Amino acid sequence: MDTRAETLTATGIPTGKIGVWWFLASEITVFGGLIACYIVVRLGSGGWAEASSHLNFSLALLNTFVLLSSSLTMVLAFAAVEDRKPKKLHINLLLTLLLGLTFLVIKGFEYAGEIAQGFTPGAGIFWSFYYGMTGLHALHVLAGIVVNLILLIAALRDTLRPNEHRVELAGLYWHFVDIVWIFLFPLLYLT
Amino acid sequence: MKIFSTDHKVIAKQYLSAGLFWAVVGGLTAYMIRWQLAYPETEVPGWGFIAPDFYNMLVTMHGTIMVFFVAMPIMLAAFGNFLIPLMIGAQDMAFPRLNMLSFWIFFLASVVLLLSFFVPGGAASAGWTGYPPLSAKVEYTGVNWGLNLWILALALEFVSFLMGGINFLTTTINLRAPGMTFFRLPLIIWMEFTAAILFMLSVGPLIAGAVMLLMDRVLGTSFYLPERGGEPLLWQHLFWFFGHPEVYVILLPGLGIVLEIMPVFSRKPIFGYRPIIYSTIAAGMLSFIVWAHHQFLSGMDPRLAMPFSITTIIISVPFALIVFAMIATLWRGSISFPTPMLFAIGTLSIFIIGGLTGIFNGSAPVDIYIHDTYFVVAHFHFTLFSATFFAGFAGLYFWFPKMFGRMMNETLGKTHFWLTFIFFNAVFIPMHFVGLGGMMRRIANPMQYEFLQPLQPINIFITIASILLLISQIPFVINFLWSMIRGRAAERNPWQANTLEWRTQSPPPHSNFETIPVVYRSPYEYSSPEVSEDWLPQDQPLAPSAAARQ
Amino acid sequence: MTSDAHRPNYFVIWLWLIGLVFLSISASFFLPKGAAILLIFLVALIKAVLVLLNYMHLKFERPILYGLVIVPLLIVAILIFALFPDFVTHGQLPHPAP
Repeated sequence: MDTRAETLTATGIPTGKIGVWWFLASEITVFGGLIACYIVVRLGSGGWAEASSHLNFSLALLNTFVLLSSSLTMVLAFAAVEDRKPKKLHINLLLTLLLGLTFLVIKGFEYAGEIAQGFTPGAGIFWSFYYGMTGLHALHVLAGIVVNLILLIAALRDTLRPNEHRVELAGLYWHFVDIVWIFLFPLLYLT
Repeated sequence: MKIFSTDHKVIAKQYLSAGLFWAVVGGLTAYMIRWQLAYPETEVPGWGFIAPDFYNMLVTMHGTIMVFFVAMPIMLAAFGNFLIPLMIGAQDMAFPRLNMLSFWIFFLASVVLLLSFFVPGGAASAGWTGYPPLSAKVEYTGVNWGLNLWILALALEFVSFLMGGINFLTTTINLRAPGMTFFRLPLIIWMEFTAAILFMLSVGPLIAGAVMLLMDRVLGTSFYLPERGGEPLLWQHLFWFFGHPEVYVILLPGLGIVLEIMPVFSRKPIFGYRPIIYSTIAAGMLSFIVWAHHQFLSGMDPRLAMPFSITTIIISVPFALIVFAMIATLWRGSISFPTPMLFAIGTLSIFIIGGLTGIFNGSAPVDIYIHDTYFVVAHFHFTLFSATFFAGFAGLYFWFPKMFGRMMNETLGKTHFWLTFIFFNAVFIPMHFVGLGGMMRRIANPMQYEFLQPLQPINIFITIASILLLISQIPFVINFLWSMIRGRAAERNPWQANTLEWRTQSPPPHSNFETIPVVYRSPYEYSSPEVSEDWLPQDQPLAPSAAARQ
Repeated sequence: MTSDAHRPNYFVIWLWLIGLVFLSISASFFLPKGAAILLIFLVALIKAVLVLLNYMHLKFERPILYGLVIVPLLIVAILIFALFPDFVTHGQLPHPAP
């Protein structure tokens, strides 16, 4: 009897998918909690317009396109799994990885520029939140890159079967990280 | 037995061992605290003098250890891991390797916390609640790495339990045996399920808050430091937003254990199965909107006091329902009193008292007087001690035969119960009175305050009782360890109970069941008219004529 | 798993996402502050919903999965609401009595 978790399902929803969605539900409360604090403290402190004007809008805008595009390549990788097109899977996983790394590199440039101007984490309450929120997000991007790298290596070595559904699960996490940035960008850079 | 086993039963025992180890450490901190309170500035036998800073560390670590390193691993992780697959008819958890990883991350958290005792400056001393600015600036406590490691240990513990929560929830949702609908699940499973949901959804804001605290301490940010725009009160909200659901996370499994044991030893179905479930869900939802009753005196907006008092009073209703359901289950039952049943009834009686004092604490006007006094300490020891220790012992005595394949000694068990029950009450009932007399929490020397000096005889009485309470655990330790090796061999179903774990061997084989069971009915069909025995297992098919009548 | 008949056009969704980013930016330049903020967050919500429903396939899953997104968001909303008195209005009523 095949008793692997992937095959048992009293609800019809694949077990791994339920697991990942519960994980994402808890992550919504982590980022949601942090963002909630940012919103209320900012609203109550006069708006921080001066501090936020020192952010590098163009780099962040570029990063937004990078991350949105990486979501596209990630879901195309999943489509490749469904269509049984291994080359398309490899290319799109690789692109997702590279775009993710690009995001981190650009973020690194942003941080370096800000620190050079003296806007360190200790420079005030706005900067505390800025580094806290983007830093936590960046760590999550890094984790996603690691997961995608592991999947890419397995796909290239053809050891991904019978677990191709993991591409979809990794995609769910990656899209979540993208959605967090969809909110962080306007919260920090557009207001 | 592989140390990196992915078998849920092994992992459960690993969590249990870790929890019992920390219970000893937590008990030692309690001993030292109580000695200092009864005989301030004298040498604690077996230790020496306790400086005030050291005392702060003791109360901090006592709370941290008992909540996060005893209650969580035993009530949630050990019982949940052991029972969920067995009681739903599965061969293991949904994600066995994640399960294994979750224990070892908890182990790492334990190592980090243990380490924090030995770093320069000592372990965390800002209270188990860690309020800034005291916890945010090294200069205020003199503790540097100890507090950083405390935050790290808690963060690792949260990660471990998030992983565990994913396993508990996914397993219960997807791996139930054929016929095991949600409304045929044993109540302990419902409780572990709800507790996991509460944890998963409430811990996030505190994780955010803990990251912010660590950044304040290590990176120079100012989330909680008013001199650079920060908000100390923010931590309190984030902490208690999690902290209140957390106390129900450790309470619900205890209630679940009592609800499993009472029908077995009354030979009666549970009274109000569905109302209990709906009450649990209601209490779970309400638990997200009561948290600021911990903050009535924090300087928060006073207009928040009334709504939070109202929600706090309301949340007592579902718990009262569960208490009445327990009593109604016992009513007119064919009751016997082996040790698990004694501890279950003990849990109920102590929990009732704790619940009643909760109503005083939850009303803002009363809380203004009793906040931060020993009345609060008495309250939460009545609720938490009953939910963790009495219910935990009930569960250990009840499932020991299944876990270890041997029976525990009844005489030692009954001795353990009566001594624990008597000395627990001797410690914590008088504590209400010193609290009402004005004794504040977390002070190292009550004799320094003139108005407290008349209460000192009560403090001494409490201390002596607490030492006797600690000594009363020795029969349990002897019984537990000795029975594991030399106890009488246990049969499959020594208690003649209905739930699925009793249908397999004691202890169960690696994949739990020879064949996956098929479930036909609820878990509480005791004294059913359909059969001549007074019990009817969930997976036992009835003879055709009887089945037709059902 | 989604078959071709149930598969969104991922590329078209991506175009929408990019377009919506430009919409937000234009709003921050051309609209007055209050209206701009409202539009920007509405747009962020729409982008998030597009990703949730299409890239994360929520619209093809059993509806109960929506609960795992909505309930945590409600919880965060409760937190924001409860933090308002202490951190936004700082315990002050909106207008002092005349």
